[in-house]
Amino acid sequence: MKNENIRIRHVIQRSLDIVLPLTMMYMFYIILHGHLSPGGGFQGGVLVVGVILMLYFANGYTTTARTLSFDLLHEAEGVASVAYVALAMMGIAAGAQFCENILYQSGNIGDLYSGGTIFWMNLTVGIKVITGIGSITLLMLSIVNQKN
Amino acid sequence: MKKFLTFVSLAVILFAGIMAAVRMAQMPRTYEGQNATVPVVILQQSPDSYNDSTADGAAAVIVQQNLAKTHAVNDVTSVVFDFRGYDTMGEAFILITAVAGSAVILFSKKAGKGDKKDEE
Amino acid sequence: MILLNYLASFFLITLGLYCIVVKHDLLKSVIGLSIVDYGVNLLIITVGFNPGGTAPIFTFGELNPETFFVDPIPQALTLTSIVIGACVTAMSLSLVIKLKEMYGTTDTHEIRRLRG
Repeated sequence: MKNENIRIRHVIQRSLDIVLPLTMMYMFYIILHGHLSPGGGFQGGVLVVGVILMLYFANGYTTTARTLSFDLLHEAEGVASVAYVALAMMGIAAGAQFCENILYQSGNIGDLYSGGTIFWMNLTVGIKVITGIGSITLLMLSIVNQKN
Repeated sequence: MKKFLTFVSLAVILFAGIMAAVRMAQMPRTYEGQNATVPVVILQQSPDSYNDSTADGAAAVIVQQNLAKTHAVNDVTSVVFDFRGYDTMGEAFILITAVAGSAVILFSKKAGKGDKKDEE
Repeated sequence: MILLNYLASFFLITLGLYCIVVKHDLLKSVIGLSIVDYGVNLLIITVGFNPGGTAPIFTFGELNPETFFVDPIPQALTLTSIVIGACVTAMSLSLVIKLKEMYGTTDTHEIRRLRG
């Protein structure tokens, strides 16, 4: 019995070692290309649940809680939230509306860095969704693993 | 008696929904793309030649002015982050509230029950 | 085609209401709450559809002189609504976890009788 369990665990670990970096790369690709193709911050940030579940299946709960601790995710969510409001207030400081695109002359149409404030807002909202939904998933996983 | 009333009221709601669906499918569309003043192919080559003097709603104005005001190719992203960025700020606020509410509900320590998050 | 979408969305809303009211298991009520959200999202998207139009993205090399766009504003409002539905589901599920810890069962007929 013990040898079979070790063999199954080894298969899961080795196969998730290949799939996990591809999933994270795909998540950042969808977030960064939000102004060129269907995508953006919200759609790309939902893939974080797959990343956390893959880490949990391969390594157990203690390693996952040490890699992505709840305090680190909570601070990152606050920083991203303040950054979004600061980017939106740049329009008022220059005399325009609330979320106006001030830096819209940077780059030609169709480049990767061409949206102005839309590019930075995509990144900020992507980080916010990643850390927020990751925190909720980690909380529920810790309830499953507590020993009564 | 209670079950009979429940099913009758659900059937009334379903019947009203079917009548509303049939009526809504016959109404005119909210944005007629065929009557655009400057066609979409010409807008892509020269973004500054838009014409929104005879617009019949906000969607017509947004489709004409999008490439000239924000050099973003995606219309939906520019609506979410630039033309209606206030709603996105409210949605970010809801995400923080959900995380904080879940943490408070799941980790409130009662006498003898509950579990703090730094125990194993 | 549009009539089929409208009928499906109203059917989903009624099915969700039935699951909330009639079922006496807490987890099935939470699933019904989510189904109402999905039905309303489908309704909002179908309002801004024009038969024959394409997605409102100025892609390079795929536009003809006779393409026209659909309405981009209802799609932007649906994005926010989807995230709100997910957050409501997360918080109600954490309430169900807490109830199961305190009472030992998720049957609403039993919970009404036990007190603390």
